[in-house]
Amino acid sequence: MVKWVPISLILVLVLGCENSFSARMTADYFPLKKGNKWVYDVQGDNNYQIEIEVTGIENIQGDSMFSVNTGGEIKRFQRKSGKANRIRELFTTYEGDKVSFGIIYEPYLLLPPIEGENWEKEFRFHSVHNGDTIEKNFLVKIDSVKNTTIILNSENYKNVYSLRRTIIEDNDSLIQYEWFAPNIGLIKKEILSDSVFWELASFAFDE
Amino acid sequence: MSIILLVGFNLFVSSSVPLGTAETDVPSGFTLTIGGKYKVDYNYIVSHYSESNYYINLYGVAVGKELMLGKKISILPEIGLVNGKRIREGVSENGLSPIFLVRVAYLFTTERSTLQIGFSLREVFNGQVGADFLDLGIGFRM
Repeated sequence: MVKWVPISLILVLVLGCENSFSARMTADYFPLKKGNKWVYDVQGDNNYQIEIEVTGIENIQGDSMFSVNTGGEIKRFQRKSGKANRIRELFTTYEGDKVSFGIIYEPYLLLPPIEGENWEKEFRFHSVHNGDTIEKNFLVKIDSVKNTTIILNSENYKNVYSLRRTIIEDNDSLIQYEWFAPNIGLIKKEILSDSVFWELASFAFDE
Repeated sequence: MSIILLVGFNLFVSSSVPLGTAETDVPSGFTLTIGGKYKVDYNYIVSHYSESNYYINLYGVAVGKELMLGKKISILPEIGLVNGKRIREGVSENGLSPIFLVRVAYLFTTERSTLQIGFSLREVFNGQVGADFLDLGIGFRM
């Protein structure tokens, strides 16, 4: 029995420690499950709270498609092995008419994130409407992926990945910085050009 | 002193390493154990995992003490450290992680050597306990 004492002590010590690398390796940085909710404090021209909730899931050809209600707007995401895509319809308004260019799968996150990586994808479409050719350009670029620790509302979040997301749609561009915490997801977002700041206020996951 | 060479074959990987449901994870490796009954053993771990758009290499060492149940069943609990590297499109991230390993083997003793067939459970610590890897193994004690 005595010989098991040191082994047991070492095991207890090791089990009691959370290891950063293995935590990052095993965590889900984009946990989508029906019923999961996040509430964010949004600061900008107006201060308000926005609630995000996963409202639906369907399985299409082996991939999970999630409907996410973001303050009343339904966004759709596809989860595949090693990545998450945002499903968008690209359209434009021309002479008062909506001209659709179809559905795109925007590469939203590579999972699990790896510090230093970057990715981008460009979509180019054109359509003939009432005899006129209309073009649509959409580019998404992610870079500056870093592993960091962040304090929000006195809460210390470790093993967080931050990134910069650039979206260029026709002549409009949007740059935002995002922070994702392990097994929580998005905890902070900054859109510096609009001086809009999101911070996680609370979250509740459906067990 | 005895040398035990154990070659492991993947049986399955649980969902916790790597992230998500395991689809194409293929751990493999070998165990070289030096030492006999009631001696400290040395274990070298090599694993490679591939996923759709990334892969993980793990290698490390673990030490433990072999316990015999009768003359046929060997139980070897070990603790150690693995270095992990996650790689995707030329970008990588390194880190160390403690590991706990239990190897259970059945020994078939012949006149010249002992054939052992067994399995090992490996757990890379992430604050939760679960069998991350289960490998089937076969080897000889010389």
